[in-house]
Amino acid sequence: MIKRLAHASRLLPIFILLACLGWPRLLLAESPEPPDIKGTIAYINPDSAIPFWDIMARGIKHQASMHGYAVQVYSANNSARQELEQLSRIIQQETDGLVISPTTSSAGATLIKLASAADLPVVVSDIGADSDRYVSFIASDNFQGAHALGKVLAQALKARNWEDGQVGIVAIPQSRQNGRARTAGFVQALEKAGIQAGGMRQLVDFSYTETYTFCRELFDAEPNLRALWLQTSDEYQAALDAIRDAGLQDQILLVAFDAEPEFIDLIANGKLISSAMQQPFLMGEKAAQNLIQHLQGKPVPKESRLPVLVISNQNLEQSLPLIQRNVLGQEVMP
Amino acid sequence: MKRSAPSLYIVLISLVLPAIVVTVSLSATYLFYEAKEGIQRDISQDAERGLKSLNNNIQGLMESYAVNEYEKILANEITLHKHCALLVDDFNLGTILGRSYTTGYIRTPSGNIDEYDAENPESRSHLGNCMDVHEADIISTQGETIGSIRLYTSDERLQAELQDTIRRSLLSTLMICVLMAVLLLILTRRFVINPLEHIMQAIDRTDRMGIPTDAVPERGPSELRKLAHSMNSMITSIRLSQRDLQLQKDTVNHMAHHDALTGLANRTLFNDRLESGIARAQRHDYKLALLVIDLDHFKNINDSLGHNTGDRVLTSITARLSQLIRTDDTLARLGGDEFTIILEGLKDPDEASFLARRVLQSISRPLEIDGHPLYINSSIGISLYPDYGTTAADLLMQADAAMNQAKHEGRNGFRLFNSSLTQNAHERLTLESRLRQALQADELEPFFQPQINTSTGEIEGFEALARWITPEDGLISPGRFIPLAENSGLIETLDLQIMRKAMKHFVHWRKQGLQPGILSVNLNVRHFQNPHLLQVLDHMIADTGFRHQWLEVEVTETQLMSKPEQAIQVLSKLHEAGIRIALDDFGTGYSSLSYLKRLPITKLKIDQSFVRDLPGDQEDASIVKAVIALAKSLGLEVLAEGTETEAQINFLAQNQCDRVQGYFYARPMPAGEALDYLTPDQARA
Repeated sequence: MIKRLAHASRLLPIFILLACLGWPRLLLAESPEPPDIKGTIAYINPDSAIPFWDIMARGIKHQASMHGYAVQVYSANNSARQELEQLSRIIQQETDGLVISPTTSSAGATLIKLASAADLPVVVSDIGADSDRYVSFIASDNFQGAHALGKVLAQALKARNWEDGQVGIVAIPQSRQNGRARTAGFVQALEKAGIQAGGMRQLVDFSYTETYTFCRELFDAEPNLRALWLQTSDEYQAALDAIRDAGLQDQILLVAFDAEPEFIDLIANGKLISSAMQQPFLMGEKAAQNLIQHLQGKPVPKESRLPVLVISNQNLEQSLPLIQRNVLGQEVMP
Repeated sequence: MKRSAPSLYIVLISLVLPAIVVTVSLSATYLFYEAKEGIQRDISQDAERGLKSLNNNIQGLMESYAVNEYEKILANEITLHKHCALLVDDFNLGTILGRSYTTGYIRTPSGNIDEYDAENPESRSHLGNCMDVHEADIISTQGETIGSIRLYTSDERLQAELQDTIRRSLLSTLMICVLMAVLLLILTRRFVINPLEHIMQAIDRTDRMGIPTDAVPERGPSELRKLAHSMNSMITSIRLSQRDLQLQKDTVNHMAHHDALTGLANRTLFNDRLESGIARAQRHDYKLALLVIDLDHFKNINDSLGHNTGDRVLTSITARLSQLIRTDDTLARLGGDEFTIILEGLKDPDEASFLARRVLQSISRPLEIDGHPLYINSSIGISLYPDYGTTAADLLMQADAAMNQAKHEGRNGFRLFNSSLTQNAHERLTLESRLRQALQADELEPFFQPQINTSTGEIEGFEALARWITPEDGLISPGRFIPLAENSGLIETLDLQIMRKAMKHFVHWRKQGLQPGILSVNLNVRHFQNPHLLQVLDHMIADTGFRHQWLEVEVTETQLMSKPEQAIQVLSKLHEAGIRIALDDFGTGYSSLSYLKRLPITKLKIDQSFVRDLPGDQEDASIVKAVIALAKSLGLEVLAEGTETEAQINFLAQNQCDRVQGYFYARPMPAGEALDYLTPDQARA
């Protein structure tokens, strides 16, 4: 609980930023629902408290409302059991379609299996699923994003003549398809640039403590560490704190994946070299779009891969509108 | 078509190989089922182990609701271990879903792995085709039952291993059978066939009698040694038996072809010799003579002096005849007193006559047996090949006919056969046949000749004489058919037929008030051999209404004296029954006075040969007087037969012969005439 509160306090700047960018309009957009509801779509994500999933939920809602569908969002809180319980409820409520961002690809397979047994069409948005019985799979091109991110980092290291240094990775679970793609793309870019990847730690609970601890372990284990890649944006502060606490502010380059509102400033002031930003709002829109098209009997691509935006201080300014809409979901009105 | 017998090899294989196959098959079957049980046990144990391992792997995943993860494990497990089906009931998920949640995989018959669908009947029915099911609960770390796992075993492994077992069993069975068969054949060849072949080779080497010449080798197993030993013993016994058999055969052959008393060829050998002699005569174109020699009155010797004496006479005659013939000639005894001589290589028929004379002379020389001088003559008939006969039967018949002719001509002589003898013999045969038919048709009739009391001139009685009148030939002489009847065995029937008819006539006459007196009938001595003669007569008398005291049977002296003791017994019974006995033809035989005294006779009938020349012939007159005196002295009635003249009547009357019978008074007459003769007004001188 204390951790949750601490975590929430750290999100306060984001809320402020969102307020400045018109957040109240977004809230207004969620209710009331249009009077001519054609159906209901359910969305299960691992944890709605994580902005990425929340932004994706908004993208789904935005697209669904445009087609007259209501959206019910369920947060599994990273619990497979809750995920299953929510699915059970969704099935019992005779929902028309389902968008899932499963806790794991394996759990996604189970969700798809159970939903299919109940004739409930499923669109998978991010994470992936160890199944092919979904209607459509919406994913970021994690490999491409990570690879581009790796190239940006490699240039930054070379610019500092740190190409002999190693790069530590605090990764999301590699059981996820997106995790494996990110790691592969990033490492491939480093190898191509002749830079070695150092140790890697996999996050389990995505907590600040876990992130901080992993960062410190990597610092301790690899004296020659010159860069740290945080495969998620959730606890970027833990990484910054770890660098600071280790006295490595000018000796460790930090790159990340995904985005937080603070990343704009962090990139701008150089604390964050670069971040490969998925476009969750766009992913949500695409997921809802494909699902609705399927419900309407229209053909739907089995897989839709959306590009990842690699943002550094070199392209920050020109990419800002795109970041605000598709990455942070800030400028879209329902 | 004779079927060839199978060899011992085939027989042994036929017997032993099926036994081996059956035994090995049973063993293989037992091993098969044992292997099957073992495989099933292994499968079960593997399943239990797999179930336990799965349980361990799944438990944590199920607890953490990692459904897809444990489903992957199930998929891997069923893929790797070829289970029939692998199902898991997830109670936690079932609780979440509000219904039971069963997941897992089935292996289809084609080998594909399909997800289990509880709603699909085919999936459920597939489970029924699985071999066995093993089940275990899945327990959470908190000790709660959160699910169960069911492992359905497939019979694929069982079938595969069993097929392998069957293949190996069949192969081993085949190999064992082949090895045992080969071993059997080798051992059989070594220990059975080879010794047997040696035995057979020894048996095949035989002499002309088919008896092995060499001893059978006693080799091989004990049974074959014993067999060979037994065969050797048997061969030795056969040789000895063969020798004994040959001796017995020679003896039997000799007995079959030779007369036991004289050692001469018997009828069988005689026939063979005669036929072969005829063949030789035909080939060499010479004549052959057959002499049939019959001793005259030889029967009297047997009857009077006994058969032993008769046998000794035959032996002596044989010795004499043997000296008269050549080595190549055949002397045979056909039976009784009948001898034959086959004389081969004749050029002149007189050679046979010459030999016949020598035979007559040789036989007629006096014999002395046990101090008794015996005088024996013979009659000989001769037939010649090829003059009158060309076959053995013809020659023998012709010689017999000639011999009989010689006897008829007074005996002690020989007669060459000619065609007339054949004619006589044919006529005799024809007459005999006709007589037999006549008796069957009851055609013979009694003729009655009165017997007259010379003192009173009254009829004392009638002698019934058999007469045969035929439509073709009229009256046939008794001199022809009576001897024929005696020789052919018809005389008894003839006597009884005449007797019965005569009795009927007598009864008829008496019923008419006439007095025919005594009925005399001839009775052949053959009747004495019938122990029931008296009963026959009693029955006939009763049947016809006759009476015993009216009947008189006449027996000839010659016949009576042939078997006097038997005659005494029979005649005594007749006499006791009231029947009178007359001795016929008295004086022609050799009556012993002692027998005459003992015989229960009531009358002597003087033979007509003594009466014929009375009263002129002194010798006949003396004999007749002596006979009359003898009869009177014995208290017997006396009757003279053949009285034809008044002088004879007077002579006989003067000499107290009170009864006569003959043509003087009447010839034998039919019953009708006899009836007339009996009438009171018949004048009688």
